Amino acid sequence: MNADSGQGQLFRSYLGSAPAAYAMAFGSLAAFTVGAWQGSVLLMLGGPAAIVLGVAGIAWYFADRKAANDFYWGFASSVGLDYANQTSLLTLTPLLGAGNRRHVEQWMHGRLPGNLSGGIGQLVWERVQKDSDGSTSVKERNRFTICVVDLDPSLPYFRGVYLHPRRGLFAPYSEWLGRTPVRTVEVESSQFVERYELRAASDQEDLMLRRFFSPTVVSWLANHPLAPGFELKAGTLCVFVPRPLEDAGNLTYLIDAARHLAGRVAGEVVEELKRPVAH
Amino acid sequence: MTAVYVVLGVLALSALWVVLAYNALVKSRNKVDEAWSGIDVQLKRRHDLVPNLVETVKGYASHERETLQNVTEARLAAVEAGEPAAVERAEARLTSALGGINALAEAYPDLKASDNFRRLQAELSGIEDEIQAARRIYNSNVQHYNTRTQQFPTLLIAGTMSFTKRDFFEIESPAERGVPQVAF
Repeated sequence: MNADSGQGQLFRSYLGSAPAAYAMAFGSLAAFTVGAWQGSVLLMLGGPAAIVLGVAGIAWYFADRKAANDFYWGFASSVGLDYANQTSLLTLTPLLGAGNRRHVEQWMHGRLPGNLSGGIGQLVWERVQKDSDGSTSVKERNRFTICVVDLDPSLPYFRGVYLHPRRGLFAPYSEWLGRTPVRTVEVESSQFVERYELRAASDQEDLMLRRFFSPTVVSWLANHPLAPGFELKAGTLCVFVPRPLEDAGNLTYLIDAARHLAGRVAGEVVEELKRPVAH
Repeated sequence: MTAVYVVLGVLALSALWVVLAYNALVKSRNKVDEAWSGIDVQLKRRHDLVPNLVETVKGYASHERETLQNVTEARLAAVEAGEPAAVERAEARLTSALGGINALAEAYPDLKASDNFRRLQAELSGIEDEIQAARRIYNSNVQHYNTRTQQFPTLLIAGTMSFTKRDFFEIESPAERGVPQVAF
């Protein structure tokens, strides 16, 4: 199952519906008449064809949207989450505040597997530029799949951990950390370093970070098929992939990755709480 | 004059390439060393856990002196091992000796049921997972580094500047290495 499932069937049903049929019939007739009145054979033949293509294009667009909405609604129901077509989230991590205009589509939220509170959806963030004439233009539009988990107890221990997939020279999206004060953290695995850039808030405790990025976590991340990145800040874990995931398998995989990472964070917090307080 | 500029340009490019290739090799070698220290940290955690495990077992099976002695000696050898090859042998021996403790637990139900023993076993199992992951990271870094030193034209730099081949790290007990015997 994916976001395109049922798209063809919906398209056919939309195209065969009365409004589409009327639009095509009246539109074609009108174009033909105008062509005849103008004495243009091209308009008499091309006009109706353009009308039919236009109606088909509109039907395809709506079928595509409806199929995607149905798929995400169905997926949310199957994993026990509530569905919202569009929402906005608090900018708790740098990614959730990326760009200067953003919203979340296909937001599925509630109790994630592992009894975690959070949600999964597609973050659309844009860089919008104001031109000299006062108009605005979209310079960059990105669609990331995110899985956000509330991890309030981690707040005092994880001040800011940012694991981003390495962007390379021709990355389709720009850096979003902006002015966040960060330092680069070195990890011993070459495979991991080739895949990721790890940065941490300047006041993040190093020992906690090292313990979190234990060899099992590093090895797991370095070999994960989705290559998920994550940000952990303000008691919020945001696991993401910098592309839209549009099938049930990969969405489940991302939720599972978030559950795994949240489990590690929770484990470290529990260990820290067990430790005797230094006087 | 043009020929001189061409030669100078080629020389400058070659020098730049040598610097970049050398730096890449150094970076790769440092990653191998860092990964080795990662293994070392996990091995030390295991060494630190063994005395507690031995003490716990002693409380339930004090007359199993030979097994406990074996573990203690294997631990000591592992702590003292320095070179990767020696570490590999010593850790394999320790793994094998710890297997003896697991066998003891089967023979002593009270020991197996003890909370402390179960906690230590769980901790040991967690550490062993970390050792395996650290080993995978190390071996992956070694493979990356060895490939770099063997690829042309980087091998010219590696050969002249003593970037020697590194060995992979395996911890297997001799029992695991053996071919299983199948009887019909």
